[in-house]
Order: sequence, then structure tokens, then C-alpha cells
Amino acid sequence: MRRFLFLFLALTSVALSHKVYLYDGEEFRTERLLFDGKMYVLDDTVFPSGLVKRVIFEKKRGAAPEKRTVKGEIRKVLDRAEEARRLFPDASLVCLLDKGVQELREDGTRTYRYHFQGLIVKPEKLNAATVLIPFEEDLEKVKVLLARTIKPDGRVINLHPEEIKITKASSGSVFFGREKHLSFTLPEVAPGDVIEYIYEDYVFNPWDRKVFDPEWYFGGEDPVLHSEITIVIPAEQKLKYVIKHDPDGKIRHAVDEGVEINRYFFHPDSVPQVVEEPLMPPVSTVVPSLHASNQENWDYIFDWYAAFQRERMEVTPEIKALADSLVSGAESEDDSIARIYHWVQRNIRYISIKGAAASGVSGHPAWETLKNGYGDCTDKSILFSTLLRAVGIEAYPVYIETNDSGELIPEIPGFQGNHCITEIFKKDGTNLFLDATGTTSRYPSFWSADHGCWAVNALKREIEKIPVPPPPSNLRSYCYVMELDRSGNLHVRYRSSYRGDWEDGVRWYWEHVKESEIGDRFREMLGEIAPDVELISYKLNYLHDISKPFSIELEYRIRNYMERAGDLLLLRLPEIEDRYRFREVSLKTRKYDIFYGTSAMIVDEYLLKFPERFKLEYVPGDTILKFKGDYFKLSAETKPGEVFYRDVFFRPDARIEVGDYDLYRAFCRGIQKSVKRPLVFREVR
Amino acid sequence: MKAIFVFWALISLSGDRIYLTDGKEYLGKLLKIGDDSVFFAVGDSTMSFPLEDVASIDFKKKREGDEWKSAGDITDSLLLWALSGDLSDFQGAGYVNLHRLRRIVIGRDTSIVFKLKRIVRITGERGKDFANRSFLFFPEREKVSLDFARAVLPDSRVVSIRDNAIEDVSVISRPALYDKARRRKFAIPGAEIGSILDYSYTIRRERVTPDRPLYFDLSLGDREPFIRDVVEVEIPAGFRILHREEGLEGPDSTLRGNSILYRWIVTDHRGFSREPLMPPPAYLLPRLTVGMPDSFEGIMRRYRNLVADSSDVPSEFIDRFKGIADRDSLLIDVYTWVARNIKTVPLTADRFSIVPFSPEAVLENSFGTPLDKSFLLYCVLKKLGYHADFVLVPDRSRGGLIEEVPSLSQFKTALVLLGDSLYLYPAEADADMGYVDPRFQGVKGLSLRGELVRIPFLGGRKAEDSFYLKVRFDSDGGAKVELREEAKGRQALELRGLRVLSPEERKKRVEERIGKLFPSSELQNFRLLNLDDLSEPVVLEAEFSLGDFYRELGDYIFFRLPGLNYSAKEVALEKRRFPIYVEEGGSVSHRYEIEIPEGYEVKYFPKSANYESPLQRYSVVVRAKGGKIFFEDSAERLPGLFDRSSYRDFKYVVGKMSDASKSWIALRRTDNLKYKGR
Repeated sequence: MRRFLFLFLALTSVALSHKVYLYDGEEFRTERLLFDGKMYVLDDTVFPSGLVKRVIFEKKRGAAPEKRTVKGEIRKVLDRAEEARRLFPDASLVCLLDKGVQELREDGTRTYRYHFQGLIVKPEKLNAATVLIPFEEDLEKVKVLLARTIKPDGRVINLHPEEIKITKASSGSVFFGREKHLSFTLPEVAPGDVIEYIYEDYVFNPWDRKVFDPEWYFGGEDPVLHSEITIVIPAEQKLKYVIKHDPDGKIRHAVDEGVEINRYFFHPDSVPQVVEEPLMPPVSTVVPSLHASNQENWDYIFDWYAAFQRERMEVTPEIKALADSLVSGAESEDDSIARIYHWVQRNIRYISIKGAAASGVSGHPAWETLKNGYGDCTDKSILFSTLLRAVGIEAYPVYIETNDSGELIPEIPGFQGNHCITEIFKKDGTNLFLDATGTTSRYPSFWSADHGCWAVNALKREIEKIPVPPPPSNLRSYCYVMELDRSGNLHVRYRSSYRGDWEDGVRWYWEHVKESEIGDRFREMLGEIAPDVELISYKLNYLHDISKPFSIELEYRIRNYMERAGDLLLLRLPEIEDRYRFREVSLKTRKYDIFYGTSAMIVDEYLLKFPERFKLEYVPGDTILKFKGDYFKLSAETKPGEVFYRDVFFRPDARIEVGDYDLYRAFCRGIQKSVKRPLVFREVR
Repeated sequence: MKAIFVFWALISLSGDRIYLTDGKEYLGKLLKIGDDSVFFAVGDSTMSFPLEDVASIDFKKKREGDEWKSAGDITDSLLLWALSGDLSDFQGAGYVNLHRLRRIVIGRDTSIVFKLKRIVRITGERGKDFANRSFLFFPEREKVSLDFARAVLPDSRVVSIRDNAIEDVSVISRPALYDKARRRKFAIPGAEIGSILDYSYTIRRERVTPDRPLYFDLSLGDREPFIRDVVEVEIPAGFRILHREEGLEGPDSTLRGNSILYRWIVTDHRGFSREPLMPPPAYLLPRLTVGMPDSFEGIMRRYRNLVADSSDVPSEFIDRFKGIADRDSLLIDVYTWVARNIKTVPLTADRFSIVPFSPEAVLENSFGTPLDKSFLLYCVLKKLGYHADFVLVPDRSRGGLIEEVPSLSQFKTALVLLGDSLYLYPAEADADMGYVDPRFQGVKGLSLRGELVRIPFLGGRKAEDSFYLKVRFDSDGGAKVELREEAKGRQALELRGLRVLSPEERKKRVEERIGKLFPSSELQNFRLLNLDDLSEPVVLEAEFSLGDFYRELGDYIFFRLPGLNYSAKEVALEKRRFPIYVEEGGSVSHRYEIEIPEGYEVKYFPKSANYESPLQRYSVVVRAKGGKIFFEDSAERLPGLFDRSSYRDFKYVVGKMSDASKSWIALRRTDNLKYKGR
């Protein structure tokens, strides 16, 4: 049993040692590194070029981090754990301490120190005992200052330094980057224990030494007992900051302006956990958060991005030739933009390769992306913008934070954003946004995760909100022409057409189904309607031509479709209930908004012809339901032997505020009730 | 789509990339690193940078074919052959496999070199994703190299992979102790329709070890068409291998100096299309299994030695179960403790190790793979005097046990056999005691005694979800419902998972669940029972209202049974190409008790019926009595592999189930009073 407190001491400055990685997995540290074009010379070894995969040049650091000691405060920690159990008796894990210090130095390097204490209550949260700290070797250095398990009886089990490993966590097949992870698992953790660690991340090579934009989130999926962030900057600088999602003013803050440094301190009272609700906004946009910057305005950042972007948007002869060939014969400016938009999507495959800040943020040069035939969102946007400019269309790459991830804070200048799309200015003075990252967006639609986001246009020095397209831009239209025969079999001619994100997604889906399986997939879908369905024909229109609207046509027959209830025969309109499930209103009450991301519009039309043998007893009456600007209209017209049913669902809102939830829920439930009503016939004998 | 022909400027691109501290980067060639400067060629010019301004440099590895710029430069005969092929026969494919060679060379020192070369042509949009490839390896015992990865584009240009599109990542990062396997992923450039992709990689293992013997279980062919698929195994003369073929001919063998080469080949495989309930690829594609001569008794003898020294259980741990006299209660307690208190690391043996960690280590770490947890449970039960056995099991979805090629590598995890028939698999914290992952049901396993044992399928009442609903009409089309759901097996997992949530979270998840089963419902209250007791079914009791239950039409009320919803999606096809593979059996039953409102009589309800097929049974009993309607149904599906000939009956039964769930019940008014509810 270890009774003493083990201390990890930050190292004082050591002589520079560069790192050399070989292809066979070997690594070397060396103070001396020379290369003459053929051979590498290290401290005590030489080898030829061809074996070396990577060289990282170590940099002189600023003042070494001070020697720090951590006082033994085990009793305090255990008391905190007790308090946590009292306040959050049902939690699986409670964050006892979530403490960050972000320090900007005079030379532009910065240090981020993080201290975590967590009470693990249930085994389900044992994964928290494994810590993965991301870092990039040529930008930063991470050190673990403390890592230990504290048992309920006060015993402390320290992590052995040898247990700290460097690894690279799994990522998707299209993502490649230089990020690694410093990883360790705290020892002998069991439910009831407190885990604690402190690490320090020294960023010796930030993207830009002049820009410092810390942010902090005060809560998450687990309850937090105490969260605080301290930001330290040189005295001559000022911090601009904003606190978001704190309507009750729970985040307390203090500023201490000194001679050498200014210190800003923020902390709230305890923060309850975020309990997930269906279709809620991203968690980072509902917990209290702090966003700060040492930049008074966006000018420097605009300049920084713009410099990279200008370099990358060079119109080479190849790019010019390509652009000209793409727009040759175009009938209008829209046509030109659309042709280039579609070409980039279909011919530049999505692969994300992040290098330094330049490629990480501003992508690769347009000519390189074109040559590679692949790129990420930034690469594709740069190429797209460059191709447009090559034919005289004003276009810019813009940065956003997608609405399914978080939010960009326009008041706080910084390197914000997780995605890059394109802003285009047409000759008529209007502007539009397009996203060439995917493969199936038909002009002028673009990914719905971009809708409603703030977009940073560095070259124009503007930040503008991307409008949410109106509902007709996201229209889904379903048309059924049906004929009931004397035996109760239903013959259906179906056609669906789409716009916007829905068209994007449906086309993508069918493009990825093996051609020989398409019929069977439709049969399976029809099997959801009724068991005895015969697919007569199907057609996917313009599946591979994203310049044309995608639509589906089906012809099928359902045997014995009418459902008998004594003398009565009921006929439910195929698939209509599925369109209006509204699972997001299953909760009686909500804490958070419902977030759709974009608008919606659905039009259903059913034309049913039926023989004289069946007398129509009941057809749903006309219905209009409203919620603010949203509405649902249902109408049914009858003629002898014929019923025409039509409904329209129209929702311009991308977000339903929680204060309106009851009304919205009633609206949705009203729609569900309306569409459930079957047509009722009686057999005429 | 227009064909675009682009002229390329001459750019010297050796592929080295230099990253500067100001964020800039350049593509070119490193010329020199001096004491203070770095010299780097970019295009036709040489740039120099102060050393302190350079962050790092990445280098392009020289690979075979890097110097090829166009098809005319290619010297690889296989690639040239691939370029000449006519693929007009293969309409509708995303890509066509032109050639694959997997070559396994076994050295006299038991080293193994595995080399794969594959050539495909992309023929459709969805085939482009083929260019994102990866393979698995274990860096502690294997050395790997991506020999080359290149594409010949439709315009005959040749492009080779860049090193920044190659990456090794962990298969699992948490916890660090289990982070042994790596995946090398790479993105081949030039993935266009009409491109030919050609890549090769090599995995070298120094020697086989008792826990990881020589064993390869390979499928030949693919979902997409295959022109030629070849496996070669080269062994030293005097060595012997066992091999088993399914769906392909035995090998040709050739003596080559001091070694023998075995060769299997499959040509013109047309691929296959997906259909519901189809068997996994291991059952559909030609399959080859290769291993060293061995016996299951020998395997288990050596395995017992491997685990013998690490089977002791700390007595402090055993002490926590002292005082529980009843043997059944003790068993439940021990099982529950292991299932719940050791966090499962979701790795099968082939992704980590077939040799478990010792009970002491697992208890100390509080983590374990399913294999580790089974071994811990086994050791504890033995120490407590239970008659327990430890059974290694293969994965049924990969074809189960291949008895002709005994090998430890066949096994993916282990179960504990208690007595003669109770199998325990403590991997899931929320599964009933006795529940076994369906991948490990219905297979033969190898017990520590050295015997092959058959693990039965679970089914019927052991994996049942039953719903009991009492329905009372309410005014304005609504109803009040009392629900009791009892779940075992897989169905219990979702419900028991709620136990770790806070009350607020639990309520929301239950509301969502009820809302999903019963759209338009409003939960009034609920309770969950037996969340902590893995020996009993988990129970959800709930009261909710349905706002939209019945319709009135003149003198009639008609309604459908809430929550009864059987889909006919799985039997939508007229005919099948493949046998029916049911991964997991189970049953679901409903019992409704519906109060007929005053002033109404039953006009119509569905008929009772009974339907059977080899894999699906369905029965429904409906009656009206004492002012109530009673509807009881039961649907049972059996697990296993069923011949296609059973499809017609299966389709019929599922069709009837779907019909039943769409049935209406009609009531007719017997007096003049309109229904006002209670």
C-alpha cells in the first residue's frame, strides 16, 4: 500500500532532441540530425534515405513549466465524493472537479492544464478510468502530472509512469491525421472509487501565436459538482468573452488585472446532467459555456485565413481548362454554377487528410486536390471556389460549425468551426451557400447540417447567418393513383419526388444498393404495408444524374387489402401513418427545444377509384391544424366511385422552442390522429 | 457525364511534405538538412528554411510502380492482364474483382508470411468506396508493409498512394491494457468509375505460438463478381498441413525445390445479392480452412497448461460470498457479480487473445473480455464447489466449428457449463443468467476436459417477450391501458439497461419506449421490476392513455389492438435464392383484455387460428365473454439454418401474423345512448 503521495514532476528544459520515425516502426531521438541528400546522420547512427517516414524537429521551449507539487488532499476529495452522492444519488458517475487553466504566454505559446476528479458509482462508467488525451507531436507536448485512484478508505494507488502509452485511437476509414493519443488506464478502479488526474498540454507551436481563443463547457452527460476555468493572459492583452446558455446567471466570474498577467476566473454552482431527449439540440449548445478570445475583432483572423485561401485558390491553366469545359454551353449563371457544383461532388472523393494548420484549416491547393481526386470539405470548397472564379463567378470558402455539432459564436473571434462550405455571389447581387462535400446534392440544395449556421467569410471579412431554406426547398411529394377491384385487391401506381436534403439522402441510398437488389428492396418496403404485395414494376429516375430531380415510380398490387370489420371494410392509405410518427413528442414534458435543423414540407396525394360494389361510408373530413407558422391541411373530395385525398404538412421552423412544446405536441398529435383515419366502405349486396 | 481531359503542368512531385511552424506546408523533395537550415525543392526552385521554422517533414516511401505515370509504363503482367479485360458481362456491379492472390509462406522456423494482392475495376458509383481499405495486425508479433496501392485511371494515368493517406489506428483504445490490435487503413487515390485499383500488403509473423497457431479460414469470392480468386500455401518439404474445402475443389500441389506449393482457385464467381434472413458470407461463399495437424485433445491439453498457473482466485474475493447457504442463490449472486462488476471489453479472442487473464488480474482491473469474464466465473464456481466446465466456442456466424482442421484459433470466446446443460455467458451486464449471445448458440465447443460439446439454441420461453394489456374505453376515441411486459433473453437487455439511469432519464426512456410501441400514448406512471435480479424476467408495468384508440361511425365503434404490429418485410420476396438463417430464436406473446363499453356488443373480431412452419409458429385465440374481449396470440421463431423449401410455409405464417396485427374489431351499439366513456 502506498501511503505517500507520488508526484510527477514537470521536467525542466532539456537539450533539444528531434524525433525520427522509420517505416518499420522504429523510432529514434537524436540531438544531432543532418541529411546530405542520401544519408541521415543521427547521434550514434546513420541510415539511408528511404527508410525514414517522418522527422519532427523539437523546438526550444519558453520558460519551463514550474516544478509543481500536489498537496495531499485525500480527505477533501472523499468529502467531495460524499457531497456528490448526496446531491446526485442516482448518477453513475459524478464529476467532482472539472478544472481547467489556460495560459497564454508572452511568446505566444500556451499551456492548458486540466484537473479531473470523478466519482465512479456504477460499473457502467468504468471506461472513464481510461483517459485518452489527443495531441499532435509537432504542435504540442503533453505531460501527466498526476494520475491515481483513491479508494473509499483513503488508500491511494498511483499510476506507474510506464503505463502511459502513446496510441492512435480508431477513426473512420476516410479520416487521416497527425493526431495521436496519450493514453492510460487508472489502476484498480472499482465502483465507489474516485479517479483523479492532472495533465498539462504545452502548445509550443500553435496555429498562430497571436490568436488565443479558449472555450469551456460547464456540463455534459454526467452531473458536475464543481467546474471552473481560469484564463491567464499577459497584462497588456484583454480577453473578450461571452457566456452562453446561462439564463439564470449561474456562472460566476471574476477578473484580476495584474502587473504581469490578467486572470479571468469562471465557475458555476453544481451543474446537473443533461438528460437526452429525442431530437434535442447538440449538448454543447444547451450546457452553459464560455467562449473567449484575445482578439478584439475578427480582422487578424480574417487576414490569417484569407492569406492561406488566396494561396490555395490559384487558377492554374488546368483548372481554367476544366472550368471552361464544364460551363461550355451553359444556359445561365445558375446552370454554370450547378455544373461545377455537381462535378466537384461527383469527381472529388471525400478523404480527409489533415497536416499542419494550412491543410488542417485551409485545405490543400486547388490544383493538388484536383490532381489527387480527393479531399475533405475544405479541399473541395477551395477547389469549387477556384473553379467558379475561373469562369468569373464570385465564390469564397466559408467556415461554419454544423448545427448537429455545436454553434459558432460570432461575437468571439477565433479559429472556430468544424466544416467548410462555399458562398457564391451571383451577378444579380444575391448570394447563396452550397456544400460540395457530399456526392448527391442537386443544385441549389445543400446539406441540412449547414442550415441556420453562422458562416465566416474571411476573404470578404463578413460573418453571416446561412438562412434556413423555406419548406418548399425540402419538399417530399408522394402521389398514389389507386384502383380497388371487386375482390378488394388494390392496384397502385406510386410516384415520389424530393428536394433538398431528403432528395440527397434518398438518392445516395439507392445509388449504394446493388442494381440486382433494387427490386427486392422495394418488395421489402412494400412488405411493411401488407403481406401480400406483388411488385409489378419500378423505376428510379435520374438516379445517377444529380443535375436532374430524383424520383421513384412503382407499380404494385396488394391482394385483399381491405380490412374487414364485420360489414365494414376499412382501407388505410398506404404509408401515410409512417410519415407522421413524430417520435420527438413522445415525452410529456421536455427541457430542451426540439431541433430539426431545417424546414420540412410533405405533400401526399391519394386518388382512389373503387367499384360500385363498395359504398363509401366514411372519408376523413377536411382538417386544418396550425402551430405558429406551421400547418397541416387535409382535404378529401369524393365523386361517385372516386376519392381524392390530399394532405400538406408545412413546417418552416428548424427549431421548436421548449416553451411552445405543449402546443406543438398537440399539433403533432392532431396530425397523427387525422392521418390514422381509414376510409370506410360497406359492401353493397 | 462529360469526359474531361485535362492537361497537367509538369510538376516535380516526389511526395515529401514539409510543415512549417507558421502553419504553411509544401510538397516537394528534401534536399538537405544542415546545422541551421533545411533545403527543400518545390517545383523547379529550391527553398531554404531556418531549422527553427520547420515543424516536421513527412516522406514518401518508395513503392513498386511509383515511377509509372501512364499505362504504357506498367511492367506488372497481372495488372496488364487486368487492363485488357472485357467486363461488359458485369452490368450493375459496383466493382468487379479481377484478381486476388493470397499467398501464405510457412518457414521452417514456423515463421509465416502472408501476402495479399488484389486488383479490382470500379464499375459503379458505389464501388468507389472500395478504395478505402484496411487490414488487421498485431504489432507486437507482426511486421506489416503496404507494398503498393495504385490506380490506373480511365485516361491511362497511373496514380500511387501518398503516405499521408496511410494510418495505423487502434482497434480498441479503452482500456489501454487491451490495446493490442491495430488496423492499417489506407485510401487508394483515383477511385473513379472505370479505374483499376491495384494494391498489395504483407504481414510477417516471426513464429507461431501455442496461443496463436497457424490457421487460416478464408472465404473465396465476394458479394461482387470475381474473375479469379487464388490462395497459395507454401510449406517446407516434410511439413504437413490440414485443409478443408467447401464449395471449391481441392488444391493442386507442386514440389518446388525444398518446398511444396498448394494452390486453390475459384474463377468466374458471380457474387451474390442480399436478401432478408440470408446466411452470413461464410455459408455462401467457397471456403478454405488451413491449419497444422492437431487434435482437439492435444489442443486442450496444451491449453490447460497455458491457463493452469493463472486460475487461482484470491480468497478475499471468495469470502464475500460466504454465508450464502442456498446453492441456487449463491450461483445467482456469483453470476450477477461477475456480469455486473467487471466491465466488458468487447473483443473476441481473435482480436486479443484466446488465453484469458487470471482471475486476480481481472478483479484488480475491473475489466475483462467475455473470455476473461467466463474464465473468472468458471474459476470462482469451481472454488465454491460447483461442477463447472469451461468451454471454448467458435462463432456460428462465421460457420461454426471446422472439425477437420482442429485449431485453437477457431475459438472466439468461452462459456461456462454448469452441470450438464446450463450454459453461462456473463459478458452482458443486463442479460438473464442463462442467456448466451446467439453467435455462440447452436455450435460445437471444446471443453476443458478435451471433449466436443454441443451448445444448444436458446428459444421458446427462454427468450420471450410477453405483453399483457388491459384496455378500457375512454371518451372521445381514447382508452386507458394497463400494461405489463415481461421480458427474457434479448428483449430483457434493453429494459434492464435502464437500471443504471437516473429516475429522470429512466422516465424519459420509458416514455419513448411506450411511445414507440403505442403511438399517441401518454404515460401516466410506471415501474420496473427485477432490474437487479438476473434470474427472473424483467418486468415493466405501466399505465398510459391512448388518445386515438377507436373510431365511431354511426352505430359502430371499431379499433385495432394497440401495440400489435407484425411486419411482413422479411417475407416480401416471392422466392428465395438462399436458405433462411435465423440468428436468434425468440417468442413474443400478447394477451389483451378489452372491456366492452356499456351499450355495445361485439360485432366482429378476428378468428382464432393456428399456423405452423418449420421455423415460425403463430397461434391466436379470440373470444368474447363476460363483457370483455380476450385476444391472445403467441409467435415463436426457431433459430438455425433452414432450407429454402421451408420458405413458402414461413411466408404464409408471417403473412397471417401481419394480417392479424392489422385486424379490426367492431362493436355495435345496442341502445340509443352514445358512448360517453367512464
